[in-house]
Amino acid sequence: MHDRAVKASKKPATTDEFIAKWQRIVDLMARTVGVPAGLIMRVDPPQIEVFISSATEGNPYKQGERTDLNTGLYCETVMKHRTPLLVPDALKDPQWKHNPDVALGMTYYLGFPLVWPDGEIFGTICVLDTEENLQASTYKDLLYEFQQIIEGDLRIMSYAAAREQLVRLELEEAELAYRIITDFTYDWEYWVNPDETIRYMSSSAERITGYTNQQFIDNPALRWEIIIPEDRNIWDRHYEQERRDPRFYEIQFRIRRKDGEIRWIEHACQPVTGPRGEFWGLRVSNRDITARKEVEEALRRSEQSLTEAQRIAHLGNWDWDIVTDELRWSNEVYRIFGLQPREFGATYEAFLASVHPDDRDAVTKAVEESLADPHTSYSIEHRVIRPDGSERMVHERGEVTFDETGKAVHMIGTIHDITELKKAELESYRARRELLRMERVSSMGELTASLAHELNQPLTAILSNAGAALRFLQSDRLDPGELREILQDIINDDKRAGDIIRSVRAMLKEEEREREAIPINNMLRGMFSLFHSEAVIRNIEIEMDLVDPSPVVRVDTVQIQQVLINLAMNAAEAVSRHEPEDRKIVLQTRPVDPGAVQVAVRDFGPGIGEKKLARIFDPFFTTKRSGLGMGLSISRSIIEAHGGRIWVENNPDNRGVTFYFELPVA
Amino acid sequence: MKPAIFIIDDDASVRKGLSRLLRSAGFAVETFATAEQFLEREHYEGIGCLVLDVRMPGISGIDLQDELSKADYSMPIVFITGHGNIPMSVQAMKKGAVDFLAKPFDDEELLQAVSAAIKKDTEGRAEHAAVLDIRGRLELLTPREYEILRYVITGMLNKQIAYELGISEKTVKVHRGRIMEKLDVGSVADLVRLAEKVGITSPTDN
Repeated sequence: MHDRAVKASKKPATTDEFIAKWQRIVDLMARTVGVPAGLIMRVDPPQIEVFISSATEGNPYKQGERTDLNTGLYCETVMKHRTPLLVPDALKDPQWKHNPDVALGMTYYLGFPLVWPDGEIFGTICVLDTEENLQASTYKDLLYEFQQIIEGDLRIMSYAAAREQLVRLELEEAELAYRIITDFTYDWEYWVNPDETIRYMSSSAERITGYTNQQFIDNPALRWEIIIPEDRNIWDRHYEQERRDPRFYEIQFRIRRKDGEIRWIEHACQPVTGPRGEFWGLRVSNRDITARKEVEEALRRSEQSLTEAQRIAHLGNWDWDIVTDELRWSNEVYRIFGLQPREFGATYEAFLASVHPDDRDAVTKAVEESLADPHTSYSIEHRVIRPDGSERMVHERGEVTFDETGKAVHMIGTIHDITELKKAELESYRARRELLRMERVSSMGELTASLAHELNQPLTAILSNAGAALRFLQSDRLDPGELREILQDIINDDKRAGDIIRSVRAMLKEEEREREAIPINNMLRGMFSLFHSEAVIRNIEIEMDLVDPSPVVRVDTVQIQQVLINLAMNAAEAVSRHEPEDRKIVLQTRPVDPGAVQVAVRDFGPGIGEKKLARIFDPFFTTKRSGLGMGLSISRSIIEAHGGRIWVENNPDNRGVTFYFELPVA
Repeated sequence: MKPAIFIIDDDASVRKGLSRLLRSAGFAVETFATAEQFLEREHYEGIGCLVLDVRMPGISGIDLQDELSKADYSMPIVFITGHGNIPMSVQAMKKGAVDFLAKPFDDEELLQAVSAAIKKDTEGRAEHAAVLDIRGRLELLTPREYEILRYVITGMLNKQIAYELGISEKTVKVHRGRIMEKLDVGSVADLVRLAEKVGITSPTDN
């Protein structure tokens, strides 16, 4: 209310332009009507002012002359009633004969009110004369027109003033809005002039840097000084770039706050141009991204440590969106598959392409089963072919997520490169087997040495005695009693030699182990599982041709296992120099009459010459470069100890050999 | 007197057989089951040899060889073994064994080895007697004569020896005559051979 009252009393200033116009109107009016005084009065309570006075002869009113109100002036009545007033002769009118103008001899008055467009009174426009002026009365209409002109001008002035006021208010509001926007920004905003002075610096600078915006305005270089030294070159390069070729891009650097704390800042700036394209400097927005950086860093570290862990463990993980068929692999999976990240358009189909062709069906089946049945977990060992042709053995595990309708929508899993593990297992198995073999051989060696020594004593005695007897015979000094004695000694020593051989044979005989009844096929399957890795690594196909139902044998399983492994290893070595398609071993069981089962291990290797074949079960006979040649000899002892027999035949088509053994059925 | 053969072997049958064989060849034989039993026996002075088994309980054949050597008990050895090896036989031969026979061996092999051992012992004994004789004669020499002897065997002339020792040539000549006389040799060549047998060294060797 107060504001409005102030505004209501405040009127636009009359400009020189209007004053000159009004002067011409008043002069024209006085001359036309033929009166000494034509006036425009302006009220300025408690006084009234002569605003414009006509430049006519005998005009007693001076411009700027002021008179108190409430003195009975003609104009007061006009203003009060807001109607025109004509006083033809004040002297004849008791109401007017004492008014102040009469004192000036002005007895004739014709006046019109002047009103602002808002209804407030401005003053009057009037003519005065010393006598009744009939002409003036005649020109009353003309005066009315003049009044209309002046009021029109007042409207123009008011309108202009109102407009001006409006613009000013709008400007004020815009200014305020702009301040609100800038001062309440969360980021640190500023504008640098081309001369490097600061045109604007948001107060939020203090929140981020600890320095007030004024400190930046006073020292624009502070912007650079707070950057930590190792990051300043980032800023320098950026600034250099912006000077040369201003464009919008972001950089990141660290600052040291006034309190010493380090903060990460993301800095973006943009060249600003004026309306005529002139360079106005750079507009800059700095954001405190410390929290984001910390999260990023934590994430990066965690990802890095996960990647490291995966690399060390040879364990990758994958994530399959079944609906969109999007497959995401960790780096380790790419490494295991021998692919460059991104080289692989990761889809299930593309994954299958990396799986060894022979294992694809098994993998597909395992995946389908786990997708179809929530109770079936995905766990499978299979081979992977790398682009360079090399093979890896992996173990995959996975878990499927089903939606509410029971449809598989998502699957996650791990892939573990177990190639080395498998190799190590095999190595350890081989080493163990070799050790066993060496133990057996070395103990046999010792037995042999001891046997030789023990036999040498009676043999030496026999030779000596026989030699002595011959000599006695030749020398004719023969005493029959002595000859008998000598012969008896020879017999005794010979018996002793026989005893030695018998005791050594008893020592050689292995301690009997508990034999158990077992289906022969189980033995072959057990061997197959032991031998599987070896076969995979050597790329050998193993075909099982087992009679059903399996005959049961009563055997020392360890020993029979040893025989089977021995035969399989020999077969594997025989075929391993062949092309992959010929690397095949067939394991077969067949019942034979009467009450026996035959096991055949057939390879498709180069075969063995008849001469060598005849000696193949002899101890220390070998066709291999490495090896002691005891494997088949021991195998034969084992099979024979089980009441069976073992033999070998070249295959009819001269492709490889087949080892057979037969064991009695339990 | 027959040469004596000492058989040491822990196997009774072997001892008995070998003993018969060697007796049939005309040797006197004594048998022992261990090396210790042999060492307990009275020191044998006559011509003979040892037939020694390498591997025995207690003192082994190789150890006995060492013991006898240390005790200066000189007797040739024929080793017999059931499981000898080359390094062991080389070692035994280096230490003076006459032969190293692997059981079982031919009767001829053993008899040849034993005969060789007896021959070696006979010769060794003669040699030993000769050395003892020379040593006895050398003891007759005065220290000066012994010193001059060491120069003479290098082939130096009297004049040179006199110069070396700072005495007159005549004195050297007198000493030399006495040396030849005491040692009972007729020439410098005999003197050198004699010195070699007992291992007298020339002064430059010191």
